[in-house]
Amino acid sequence: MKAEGNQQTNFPGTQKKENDSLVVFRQVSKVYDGQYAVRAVVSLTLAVRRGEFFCLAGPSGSGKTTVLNLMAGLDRPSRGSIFLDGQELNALNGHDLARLRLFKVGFVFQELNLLPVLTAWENIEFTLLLQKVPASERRQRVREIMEELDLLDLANRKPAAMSGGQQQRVAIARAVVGRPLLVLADEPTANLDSRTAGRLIELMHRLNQTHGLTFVIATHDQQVMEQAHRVLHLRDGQIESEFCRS
Amino acid sequence: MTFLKISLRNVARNARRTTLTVFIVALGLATLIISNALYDGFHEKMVANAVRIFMGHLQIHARGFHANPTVENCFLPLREDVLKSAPGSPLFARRVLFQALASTTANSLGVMVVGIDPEAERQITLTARSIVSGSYLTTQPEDLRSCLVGEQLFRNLHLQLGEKIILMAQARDGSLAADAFRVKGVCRTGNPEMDRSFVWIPLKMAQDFLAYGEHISEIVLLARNSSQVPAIKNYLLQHTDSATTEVLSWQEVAPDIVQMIELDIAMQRILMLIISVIAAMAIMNTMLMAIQERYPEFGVLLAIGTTPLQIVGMVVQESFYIGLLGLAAGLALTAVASIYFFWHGVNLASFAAGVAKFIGLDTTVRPLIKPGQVLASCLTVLAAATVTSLAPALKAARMDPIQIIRHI
Repeated sequence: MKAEGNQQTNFPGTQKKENDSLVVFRQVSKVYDGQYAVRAVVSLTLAVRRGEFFCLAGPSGSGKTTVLNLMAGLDRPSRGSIFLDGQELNALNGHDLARLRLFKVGFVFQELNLLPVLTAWENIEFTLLLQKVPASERRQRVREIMEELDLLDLANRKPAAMSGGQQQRVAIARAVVGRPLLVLADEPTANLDSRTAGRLIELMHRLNQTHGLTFVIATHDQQVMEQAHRVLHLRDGQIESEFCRS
Repeated sequence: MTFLKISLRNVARNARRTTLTVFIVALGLATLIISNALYDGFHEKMVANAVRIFMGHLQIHARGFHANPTVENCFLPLREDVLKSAPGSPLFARRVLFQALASTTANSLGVMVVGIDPEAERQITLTARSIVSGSYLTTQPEDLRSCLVGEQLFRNLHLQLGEKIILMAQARDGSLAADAFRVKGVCRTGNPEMDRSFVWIPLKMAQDFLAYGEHISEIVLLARNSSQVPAIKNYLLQHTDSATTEVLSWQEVAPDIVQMIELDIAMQRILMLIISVIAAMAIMNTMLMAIQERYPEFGVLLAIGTTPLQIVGMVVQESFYIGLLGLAAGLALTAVASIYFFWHGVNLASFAAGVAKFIGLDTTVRPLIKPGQVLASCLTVLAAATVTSLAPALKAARMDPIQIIRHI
């Protein structure tokens, strides 16, 4: 937040100043051009604090996934600026954005998160290989995270031999093993039964608490929202309401 | 290493599809190598036949004889010690060649008369082995007025063994020469032109017939190894007077054979191109299907920070490994097919009548495997397979993760 640190600006949707923020959206709009232009996000201004467990809620088509994609630099805004850890994403080229995602962002998708030809261990290790972490350190970090998430029994299993919940736990392990600043999760519990979903949320919450990892989760799941520090309700690409727990 | 592992496992992932692609590549490669080997076998046989049937590897004439083979174009032969000292000590034979009218009581036909030294000729050409009835000429005095006749000519003149034919021709001094020769043997060379018009008589008789004295029409040389031909030619050029003599290699004597081989090589290249394109298309099709199937994976890979270049590398590697598997299977298939064709051969006479004109009486061709040719075929197929995969690889790398993630 070095670039943003001196501005000391308050933003709607935040309770603290911007220099605490990991992610900042300033008047961000996203329009998908086509036969009919779709305004997915409209003049959105928000900030996500470091270490926050932040939820984006709202009905389908409200712009949750678009906001996640914009945060990760997977998509570029039509208007406005986005900052991640002080870097303006608009200023980065495709290669730099890929590096930014590799080192600063972890992803958990709704499903099909894992590479089917790799085992759980290899899927988790993959991020570290991309980061070019030395082999011995790689082994140690993969073992540590698998122990922490109780995944060691699944180390040699390929995704096809794991349940949906197990796959999501491995996906979380892969997302956090690279020590990112931000973990983005898009409907991570959507395809899980409520018990498994509950365990997964608890797991993410624990990682947030113990490692200070910032989570931004797009969800419909009430269980997830109950764990969040803050819940931002979107509708038609705009903030409808905000609920702050702390 | 990671991408290598992912690529290898993806190759094994859809075993049926990979096997089918590998089979297509293998079949293409084997077809390419075997067809090239058969072409090469055919060329080798064609050259060997042309050289051994009459032409030899090199010929020495009086200057202008090759273009204008008249009786006036004759020369005094080089000393034998000069010829024997040529690189690789080639075999050689002197000849007298002239056109004549051959007459029997039944018929008269124009013929090509070849005056030969029977023993020297036996070492160089297949004339002695082409006797189908009667016997070959000897140097014995009683054989001086004997002749060999081509099989078709023998029939056309309604000859019998031991019967006489009269040869008439203009001698070197302008006089009309005529003499009778008893048919001692009938030759079937496989070359229709020779079998229809050639008469062989002893060299001494031909020289006397044309009033040549010691002159001859040509010296034919057979190198012990065809690779020695250029060196022998250089040696002969140094030891002959270029103003009065010409030294010609078989390629210069029979440029039509060279052109035919060049044409075949061009056809081989076209075949190589077609087969490479088929193999490449098979791999491209496989990779496009695989990419379509793995759409979400590429989205996830791009989302978690894999660069497009790494994606391209991964897909190209997969194609490369499929190509390598195809190469291995293709070489195994080639080995089996080569053994079969080497053992049984391919009888070209069953495909094309008159093929004996080019390759002699034994019309069975066997593959000639050249390591350089095999390597070139392998590299061409592998390169085609790998390069073609760039299209699906780029497609995968250019995928929009947003679009993919929306579908996840």
